[in-house]
Amino acid sequence: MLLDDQLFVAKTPLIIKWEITKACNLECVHCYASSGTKLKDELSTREVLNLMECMSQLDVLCVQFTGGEPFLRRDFAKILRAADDHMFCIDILTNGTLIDKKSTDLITRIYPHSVQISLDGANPTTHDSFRGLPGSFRSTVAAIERLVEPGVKVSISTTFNRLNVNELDQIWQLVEDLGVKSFLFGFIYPIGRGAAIYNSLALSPREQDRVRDFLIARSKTTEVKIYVDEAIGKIIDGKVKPPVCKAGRIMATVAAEGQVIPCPMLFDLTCGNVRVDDLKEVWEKSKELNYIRELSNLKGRCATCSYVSLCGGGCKAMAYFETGDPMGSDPFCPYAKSDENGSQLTVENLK
Amino acid sequence: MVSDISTLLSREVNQRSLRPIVAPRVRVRDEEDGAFVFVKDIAEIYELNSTAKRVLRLCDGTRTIEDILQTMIKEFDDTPQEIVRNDVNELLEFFEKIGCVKFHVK
Repeated sequence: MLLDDQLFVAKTPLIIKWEITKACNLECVHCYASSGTKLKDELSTREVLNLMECMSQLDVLCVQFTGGEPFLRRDFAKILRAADDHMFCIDILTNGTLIDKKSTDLITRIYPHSVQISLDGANPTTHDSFRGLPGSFRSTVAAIERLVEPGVKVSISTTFNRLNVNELDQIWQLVEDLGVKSFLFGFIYPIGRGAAIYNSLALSPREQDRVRDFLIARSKTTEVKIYVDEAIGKIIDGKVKPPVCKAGRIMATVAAEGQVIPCPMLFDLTCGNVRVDDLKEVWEKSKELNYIRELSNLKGRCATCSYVSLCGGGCKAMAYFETGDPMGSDPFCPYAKSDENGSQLTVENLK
Repeated sequence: MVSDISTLLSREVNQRSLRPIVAPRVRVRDEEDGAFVFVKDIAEIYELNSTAKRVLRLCDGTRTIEDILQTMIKEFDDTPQEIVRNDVNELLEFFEKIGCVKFHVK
């Protein structure tokens, strides 16, 4: 199928990830986007609405609103309504703390594909210590309950690390108790604020395997759909497969000040700016996008790996932060990890 | 008149005369080798291969199910008719199940 074909490049972006603001009311210690303060020149309401019109003309199907915290934008309700009018498939990535009754009513009405809410612990002590705001656990859980009740498709997202990995059972129990549709898990990336804590809090390959194994086992008995972060891979038939990078193939990202970048983690690779450049032209002609699309540009281990036709070289952002080149080797590749770190994942069970 | 297929069948309408049409709150994005379909009412996206895309594109409200079957049988003349019929019927049932097409009678 198209999404699994490494050579498939959509004629225009199928998905736009949209960092609608850099402002955030939390100070998560592992935030790869280093969100916090609103930038000086973020896209105005008019610019956002114009861009949505343009995206609609380009037949963009999915818009994923992220940040920062999207609900900090005063015009976010207007933006959501416009996205709904354009019939985009909408995803909202949020910390949930600002979702009140009014927002819940709007979200319920537009019925997004998902509202992804971050939850990094099974209790206030753990979650709040990551999120940098006392009380955030309580307001996040309250938002999840408020959204689940009218049937909104909520996804809980958890970043596992040394401080919450021992709560794996309790976090999972909470996920099931809250009645969400899906659960997305990932690990700390050495990107943004995550770089400063990576060495002390990142899980070892064996610890990551334990998390994966636990959740893969649950995936066989639960109605909650379990996903692994797309930078790490995907679960198919109870096995974790390497990531199939969407950046530049079916997805582009628009940053808060209009920069077009391949994915939110490749924020150094500016391909254009929607304020001055035509999005279609950027998609077709950007040197950066064309560079990461071309598998023959892969370097290091990925250049000679026999599985490159399955994964296309893995996560370009991880490769970029490890090697300085998005087409370098993905340091988190499960194939490579199985070779180097004694991980339980093997090439055989990845086939 | 637009209705769902089960209602129509329960009224003993000849199934072959039903005319499928892509539902109003559905977006179809064509790609060279397939298509992506977004069904707004269930907020889900589906990926179609080129055959499924062709069948969906034939659901334009002017063709009956039988017209669509005959078109596909002609286009897949190296495949046994029964297989084409089954596949097309299964696809149409799937499209109806996800709310991607509606059926009407003229």
